[in-house]
Amino acid sequence: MLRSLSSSHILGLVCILATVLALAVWIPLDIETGLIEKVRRQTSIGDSLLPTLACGFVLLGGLFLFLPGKDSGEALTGVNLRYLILLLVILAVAFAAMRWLGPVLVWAFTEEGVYRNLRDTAPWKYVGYITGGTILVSGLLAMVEGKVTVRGIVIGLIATLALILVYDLPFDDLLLPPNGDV
Amino acid sequence: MKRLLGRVIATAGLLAFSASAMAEDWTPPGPIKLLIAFAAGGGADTQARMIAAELEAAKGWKIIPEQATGKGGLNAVKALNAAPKDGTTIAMIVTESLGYNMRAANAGGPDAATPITTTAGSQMAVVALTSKGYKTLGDVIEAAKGGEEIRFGAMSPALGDLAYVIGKENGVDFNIVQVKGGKAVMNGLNAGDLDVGFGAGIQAKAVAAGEMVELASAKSGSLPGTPDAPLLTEYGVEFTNDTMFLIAGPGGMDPAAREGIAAAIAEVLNTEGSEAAGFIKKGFGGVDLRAGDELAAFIQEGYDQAGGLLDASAE
Repeated sequence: MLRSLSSSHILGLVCILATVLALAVWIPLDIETGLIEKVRRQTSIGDSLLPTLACGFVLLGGLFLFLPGKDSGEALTGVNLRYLILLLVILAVAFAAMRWLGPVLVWAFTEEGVYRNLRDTAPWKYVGYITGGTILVSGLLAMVEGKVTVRGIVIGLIATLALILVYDLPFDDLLLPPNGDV
Repeated sequence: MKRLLGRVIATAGLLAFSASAMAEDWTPPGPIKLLIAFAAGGGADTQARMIAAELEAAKGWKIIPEQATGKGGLNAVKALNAAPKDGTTIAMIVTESLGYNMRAANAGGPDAATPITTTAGSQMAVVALTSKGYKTLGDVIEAAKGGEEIRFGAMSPALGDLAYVIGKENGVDFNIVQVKGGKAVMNGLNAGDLDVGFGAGIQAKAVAAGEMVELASAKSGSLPGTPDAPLLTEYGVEFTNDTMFLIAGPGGMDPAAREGIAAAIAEVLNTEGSEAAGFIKKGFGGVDLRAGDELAAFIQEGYDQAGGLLDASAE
């Protein structure tokens, strides 16, 4: 069935399924308040209004893409799928390195052993961010260029260091990812 | 017998000394995340950040403040309980968060968080611009009875309920306007968008300058700026708002961490020349430290009383 659908149709279908899942499962299970809350004479916006509206817009977009008779575009090809999978793999590897490399290295090489306690201590606080950030930028460059180059890796490293320079060094109380959430 | 008594006294002394030494000795195993349940830039936020800075200077600890606003402090309590209980995550909330707000939201009991220490009380009063001509809350009630629409600003649901009960007990219907923070009440009064409103201490300067008047104390006691202001009991209202600023940890927090942090905060706020203490004096009437069993009992009492206010305002 997928072969007979265009890439636009598949994208529309993914949007519809994702929003139906969010509206039927995620929002009711994870958000306590409704769309509009009337508590003790006060009417206020419930926590689920914004995600429900956002889902509504995505659902609408999905339906437009999926509607029959629309310009169907090209069929989904192996190249499309490879591109998508490669993109997701680069993102997953980069974010996994950003989140877990620091804790693993602290566990392996320090007496302290607990990354949370060193999350504001150099060099540990930079390990995940630099590695993950470099993988992210240089990986995306390599994907677009079709090859891994030293130049791409250096650009990734410089971009990451520049972000540290802007967001970390001047501020005493700001933590780089993932250190605010560990 | 004398010998036995001597031993008992010596043991008790030793235990007290060990507990105090344990609190003195406690050091956080890593940086402390300080969740602030108030909007950035307001009085409560400034108070929390000043205490954090003085703790860093005095104790050499690293404290990382972070905003965790919403739901009257319950969002901060929720975040606390997703964190380790070792003292590396604490929050600045108000006692009302573990009392009325917890009860109104049906979000658990006061033991959802561990109260560490209060830092300041509030000078909760019903306030109006002097130019409105009201002298006491009685004048406002009379004006409402005469058909005047009174817009009553409240910065928390508990205060909204209190305003409602004041009206109910006196046969008037205030137009209760819920706003975000005490500063917003002051802005509303100054802009003429509100007629009266609650002030938790932010009004002190304007009252001293004669620009505002405290029409009634919403506390159980009198107000330092206007000692003659009537209490709410004079208007048939049995509820008060004695909320205090509170540093809390996750529920079931390590007792050594709790005592260590309480002792450190007491140390910096009791230090001569403390800027945080000076700020608290100006904005909230002065440092008011309560910890341990006294604090736990105060919070439990607030939680128990909240049921009465909720019932009275639901009628």
